[in-house]
Amino acid sequence: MTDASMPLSGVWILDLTQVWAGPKCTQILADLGAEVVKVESPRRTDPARGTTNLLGLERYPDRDRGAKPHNRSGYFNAMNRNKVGGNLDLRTVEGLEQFRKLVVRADVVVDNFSAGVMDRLGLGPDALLELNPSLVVVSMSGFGSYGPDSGFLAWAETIEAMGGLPALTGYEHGPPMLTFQAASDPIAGIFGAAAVLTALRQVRATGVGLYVDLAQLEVLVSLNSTALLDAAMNHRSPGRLGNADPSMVPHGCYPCREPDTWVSVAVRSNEDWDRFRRCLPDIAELQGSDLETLDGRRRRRHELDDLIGGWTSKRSADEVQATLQAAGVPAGRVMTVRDVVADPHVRSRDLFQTIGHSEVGDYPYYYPVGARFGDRARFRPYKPAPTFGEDNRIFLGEILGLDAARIEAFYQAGVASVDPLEDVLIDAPPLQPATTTGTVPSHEQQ
Amino acid sequence: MAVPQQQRPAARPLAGLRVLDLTRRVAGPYAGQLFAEYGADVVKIEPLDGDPARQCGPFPDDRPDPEASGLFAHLNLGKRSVVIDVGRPDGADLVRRLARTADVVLEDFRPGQAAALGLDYERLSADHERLIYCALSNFGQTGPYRDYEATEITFQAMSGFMAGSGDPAREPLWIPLFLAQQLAGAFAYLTTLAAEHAVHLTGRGSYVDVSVHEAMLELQDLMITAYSYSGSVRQRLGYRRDTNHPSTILPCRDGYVVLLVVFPKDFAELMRLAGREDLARDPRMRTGPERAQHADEIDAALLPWLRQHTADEIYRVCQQRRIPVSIPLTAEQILVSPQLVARGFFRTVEHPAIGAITHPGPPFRVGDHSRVGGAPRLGAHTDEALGDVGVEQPEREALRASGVIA
Repeated sequence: MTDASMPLSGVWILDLTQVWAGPKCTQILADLGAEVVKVESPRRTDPARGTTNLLGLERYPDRDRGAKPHNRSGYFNAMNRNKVGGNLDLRTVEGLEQFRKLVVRADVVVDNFSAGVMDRLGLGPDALLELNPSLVVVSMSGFGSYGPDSGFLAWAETIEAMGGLPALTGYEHGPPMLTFQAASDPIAGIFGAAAVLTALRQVRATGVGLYVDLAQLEVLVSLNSTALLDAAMNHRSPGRLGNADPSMVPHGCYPCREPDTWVSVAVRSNEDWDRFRRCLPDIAELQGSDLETLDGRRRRRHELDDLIGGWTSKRSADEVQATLQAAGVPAGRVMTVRDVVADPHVRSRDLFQTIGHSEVGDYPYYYPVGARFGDRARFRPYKPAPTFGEDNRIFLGEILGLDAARIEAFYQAGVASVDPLEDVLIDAPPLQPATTTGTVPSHEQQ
Repeated sequence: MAVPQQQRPAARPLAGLRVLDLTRRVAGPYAGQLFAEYGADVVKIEPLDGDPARQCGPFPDDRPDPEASGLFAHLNLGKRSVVIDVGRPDGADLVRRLARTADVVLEDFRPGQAAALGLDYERLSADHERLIYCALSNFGQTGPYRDYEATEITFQAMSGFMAGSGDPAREPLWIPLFLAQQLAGAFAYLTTLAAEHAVHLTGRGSYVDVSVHEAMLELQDLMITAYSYSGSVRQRLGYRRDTNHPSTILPCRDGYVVLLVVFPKDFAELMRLAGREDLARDPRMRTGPERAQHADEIDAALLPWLRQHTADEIYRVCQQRRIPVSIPLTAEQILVSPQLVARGFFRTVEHPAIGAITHPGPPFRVGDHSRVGGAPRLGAHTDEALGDVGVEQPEREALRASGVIA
């Protein structure tokens, strides 16, 4: 199915992931050409198809759930393209037997279940490596497979909190804040893809398979390095400073002319300051020689922020960005996703691909791999995200080699299914304003 | 619990891979550090006055010293440092000689500058078809913003991230981490590894163009899809979610806790823990949106209980009941986190100038990390690395005398 010219052509990945972190990992690998076979449960489908009441109608085309909402969720469709999607109940003897046959042929197995789930299914790392001694096993649990908190529930915000992000995030003198963007999910997914490729190289060199116990918590903490090194060296934790940065003054987010439009400005050095103040020649208070040093600017930090905000609030964010960038000062407007999609630079980089999908139609998706290799044609999408059961013919028939009678028997017994066997909606989705997207759990409780 | 056997194989996954790292500051050096972390030989080329990150804190006791930067020490663990003035023709020539024996070149020059120096992909791959050349830049090698200046907050602003972060009544907020830059480093690393996988099949390397801005956009892929599908644009939520409660941070006896209570059974259990059986069964509070309507009432019911207990007590009692509660840990608390300590996450690495430093561990562990050495002093490996590619001592002395190397 894949184009043989893609970097990961021929790498065969069994994908047990769900929601965002895990599917992001295998999505990156699929976009690079790996053959990813995603195995869902016929009972508990991937929650990104639409489980919790946190996920609102904004994820459906035109806010219309349709007759089969599990096939129309943008959160699933954005994260599962270029994958073959079948289903198999691993809690049945027959389902597990078939899955074990696949393990023998796979290069990689990835999951992001809570710690212990794979063991309870009989698919722990020792069992998988016994079936296939040259396999790469990457488990992406929240806290890792061992340690006192390993069995705890880890949603994206859990990981962000325990990784130290909210403690750093917030207004000066204010409480810690969540960003409600579930950023730790895609972050863990990106590092999960890196872990798969790292481990694959070792297997290529040694022929010996291995297990990577990726803890999403450790990914986040590894990115919190400046504060942790400071804590280790100097026995202190940084306070919340809003948008300030102790090493750059001014450094902030300033209001622009239109409602709720903003621009970020950072003055990295005394040279930046000189370029910056020349862009605001009419503000006499900015021209003083006491501001030519970082210490001098630090002493008047709040006053500078007010003066700059007064200047930016008379201008559009675009104008401030263009004026300051022309002078060589880092300024960037605060873009919403609408601004991002319309941005001339983003458009010139060709970062989106339109993919047709049988139950939602044609929509663009973020798809940067072609831009990264400077070769759009080589990295065309070849498959939309699978509707539930859509690929069962390929998965059960061609990949597993089951005949029609056996497939029918599986359907009768609920080992596999054409449609989800349980209602995937736990709560009715709320009617909510078109302004928010929800976060989703990193791990479904199993 | 036993540590699984397969977790710590003695091998190093990138053994034998040679990386020439021409990058500075954060994004590129982080990519190079990942290569060094997993076993590659990473030769870092620094200018005569060193990577500017050497000027950045934290420093022990806040005493600035280019040989004692915590940031530099962390982003350059396990590398070798070679000082070459690549702006001089003789310097660029040395880099070309080093590139001939490298599998990977990482660079973060301004778009166009590599070609001006004669260090671009076309030049370096002309007699080295297997080379993978990864160029990191703020906004990519092409497009209207390719020459834009940027620092971390610029990327967080221009990617959609800040627009969704903070109090809707106030300015959008950044997260003070090198998030965009480290994600770009991770993409440079993983994309290069994918290209390296292909070299073994095809014999041909690749050119890779990694944009820090685009790495940060990866965090918005679902929000971009929601916008495509329904035109919805995410707004800042501030301290609460308007579709569910409690999804929030509340104070407790010694700090704060993060509560993420979505399912009705979790809400009922939490209210029972707080001694509020009445609210656990309250028909007005069955679904998330209903509870969001009564957020003040719920907080008022929880706070007396929360204020009697420490964050750690609340975290453990709730998690034991499968309620996803957590603690917004400070850096000092993370250093002693029982989970991370039990997993041996932190490591102490000897640094040539400042002695033993505690570092966060790698993002994931594959192979033997105990052999990752400290960050190098400026130019510590100039002679060794140039000697490896046949630049003998008399030539090095001449280059040193004319200020091309140090």
